[in-house]
Amino acid sequence: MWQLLRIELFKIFKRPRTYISFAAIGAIVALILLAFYADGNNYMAFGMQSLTQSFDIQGRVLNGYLICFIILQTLLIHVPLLIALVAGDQIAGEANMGTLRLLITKPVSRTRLLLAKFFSSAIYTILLLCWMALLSLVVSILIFGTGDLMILKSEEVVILEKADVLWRYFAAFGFAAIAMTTVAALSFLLSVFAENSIGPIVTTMSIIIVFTILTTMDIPIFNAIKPFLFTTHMIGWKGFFDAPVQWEPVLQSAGILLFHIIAFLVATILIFRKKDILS
Amino acid sequence: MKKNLLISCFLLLFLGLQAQEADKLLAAVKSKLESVKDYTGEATLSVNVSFMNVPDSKVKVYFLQPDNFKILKPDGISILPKGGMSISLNSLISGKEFTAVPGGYTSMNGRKLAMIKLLPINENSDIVLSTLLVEEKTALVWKATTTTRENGTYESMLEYGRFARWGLPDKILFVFNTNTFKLPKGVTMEYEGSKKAAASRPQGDGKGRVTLVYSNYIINTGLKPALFK
Amino acid sequence: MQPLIEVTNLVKKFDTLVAVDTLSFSVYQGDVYGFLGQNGAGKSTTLRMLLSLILPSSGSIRLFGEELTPNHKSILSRVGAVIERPDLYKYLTALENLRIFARMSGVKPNDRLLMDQLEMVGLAERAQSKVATYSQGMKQRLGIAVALVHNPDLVILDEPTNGLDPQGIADMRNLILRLSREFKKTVVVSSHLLTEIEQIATRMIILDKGKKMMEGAVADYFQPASNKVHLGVVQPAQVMELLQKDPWNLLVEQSRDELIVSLGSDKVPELTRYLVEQGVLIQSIRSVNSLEAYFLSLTSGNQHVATFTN
Repeated sequence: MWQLLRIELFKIFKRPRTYISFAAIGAIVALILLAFYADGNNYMAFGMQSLTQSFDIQGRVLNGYLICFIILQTLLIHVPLLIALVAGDQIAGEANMGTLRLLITKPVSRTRLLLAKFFSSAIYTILLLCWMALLSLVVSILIFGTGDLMILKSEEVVILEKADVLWRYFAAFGFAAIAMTTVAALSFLLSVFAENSIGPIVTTMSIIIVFTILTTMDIPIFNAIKPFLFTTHMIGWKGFFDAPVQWEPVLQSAGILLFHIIAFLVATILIFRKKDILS
Repeated sequence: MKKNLLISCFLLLFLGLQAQEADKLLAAVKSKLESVKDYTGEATLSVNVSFMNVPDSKVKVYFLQPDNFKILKPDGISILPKGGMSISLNSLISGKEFTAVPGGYTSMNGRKLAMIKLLPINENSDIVLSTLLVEEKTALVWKATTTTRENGTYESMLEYGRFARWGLPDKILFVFNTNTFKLPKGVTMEYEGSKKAAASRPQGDGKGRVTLVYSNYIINTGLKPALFK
Repeated sequence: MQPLIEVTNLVKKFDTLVAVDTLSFSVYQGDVYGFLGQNGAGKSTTLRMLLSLILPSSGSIRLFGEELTPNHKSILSRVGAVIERPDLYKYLTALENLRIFARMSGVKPNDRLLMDQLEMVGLAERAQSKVATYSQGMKQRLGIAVALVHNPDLVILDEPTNGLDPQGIADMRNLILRLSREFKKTVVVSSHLLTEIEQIATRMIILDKGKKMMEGAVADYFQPASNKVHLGVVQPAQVMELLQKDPWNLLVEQSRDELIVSLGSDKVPELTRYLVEQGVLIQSIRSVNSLEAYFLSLTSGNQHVATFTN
């Protein structure tokens, strides 16, 4: 199994497309950091306008912690595309290249092959998030320093003590890893049905976009199905920035996501074991 | 409400204390406050506003005559209502022109307090009326209520202890209106779990409360006005 | 002798289409076993079932004396295969590809051995180039190297000459013969061209519409004695009469302008001389293998080109 995993990781990290994601995240984060470095105070003044009309805010609101939060908030919505780019390619891409039939003729069980492929996608996902964490948290802190974190939500304004912030980011990145692995598992499942990687990538994104629209729209009919959409739970990382953290919904969301991962993976294995390789 | 207040003010003007006596008491209060040219206070700030989730924090409070006042959280963020200046009695009393009207006596926590109403002379003043409850013996203000045109009514409750001889409170509770304030609806996706938790919290009475509990004052060290810029 | 591959009553249905219909055959140790049939005859489907790429609808496949489905891991470790185009990871070098598939076959890759493999297929100098830069023929040879990397006993090649230029086809043919003669591998090879199978196979099977049409030793079908001679002459009726008499006493059929004579190809020169001496004007004369004739008759019914020339 370890051997197979190493082979799959080798294949992933030998491909140019793998590094598109790392470059894309690097570019986006660099742009956001540059923008904040150049014009952050104006942005903050604009963003907090409604608040500063009635309240005096003292201190450095614009700091590394806040920028990391803004980056996560804007970027995590788009990361699924980068995940699907690799996970959706795992089986469909091999089918398209014609290497899948060669893999299957090797003395390796299909289940083990799929597990190796899935775990290598998950490792890619986690490495991508680590890269994002490094850039958005470590680099932001190096440039802008730390401080209390002020978050404007639609229900409330939260201020978190400087010393009380860092662990939340670790937890948030951990949660994001689960959420993004769910995306990976979904594209992985879709990858079984296709013989080129465009299909699963587009389908994954379509599902996420449709679900996200349903999640965002405050319409009573949609509200009823919200708890059943995994996208609703994918932003659970934000739950770590409540004070105090509402552990019950956050852990429940994490559980629901883990359940999705397992369900997607089991479905993938069951379908693929029975699949005739015609590519 | 405002009208009623005004009417009662006029009634009090005729029935209560003589205006001169009110002025005398106010002068006593003023002179006590003016004995402090500046101070640096160390305090714990608690903000209790329904739509704000702010931890209690250690702050430094700076004051310089006549009405320079600043709360700073070193290396952190502090958030206070815009009218927060009114926390300082000095800024309420000093420098502004108003008529003092006696309002009789009242009792608070078993303490007999004289009521002084301050009516601004300037018609365009934002402050409509201020009411001070003063202990005559010590010339300490225990409660101040200020009604403004724009921002509703503020109340300050003060408690004295170790620094009473300087006229400085150990604790100030500041109550203000939050009814009119609306947070903008965010454009980003909110986590349902947090929403539920926020919704389950009590809505509050439409008032925000800020408490400052002083642990220490350093008085008359000659703070520079530049600090308040 | 126990067969290396033993297939009994194999059936594969795709929805309503029966791709392979109760097929049975055996491949023995040392065979170069040819699968012959048109495109869509069921060759690929059958070979893919041997490799557990496709699951049979019913029937049994035994390799090395074991049932395939439960034992496919141990069986496949003794099988090497190239299925259609030998597509490999284009973004990896030949050596990297070889290393990956060696590991997957349970072999600890040793770079010297891998280079030997590449040497055998003539790719040693290009070992470090990315496969994307390879020509079709080079890819095909690398595919063979990959199939052989774990030293399998059985090599299955599905249409290995598809898309190759004449030189590539010749190279491939030589490689297959070497595999059999030099390395003592059992080879199963499919093609839709009779000539290819004829040149390399020892035994063969002909499939049509998923059914077995014939199976046996190639040598038997290519007996010169069993050939037919197609004869184009100006006056077929008179020539027919001539040939049915002494000294030839031949079985002659007439098919349009041609006479079809059952005669070994070794007798063709003698017959030609006789006809010329008799003053017959010959337009064309060709010796046709009976198998070729049979195969043509199988394919002609389905080929538009054939209908057009008729």
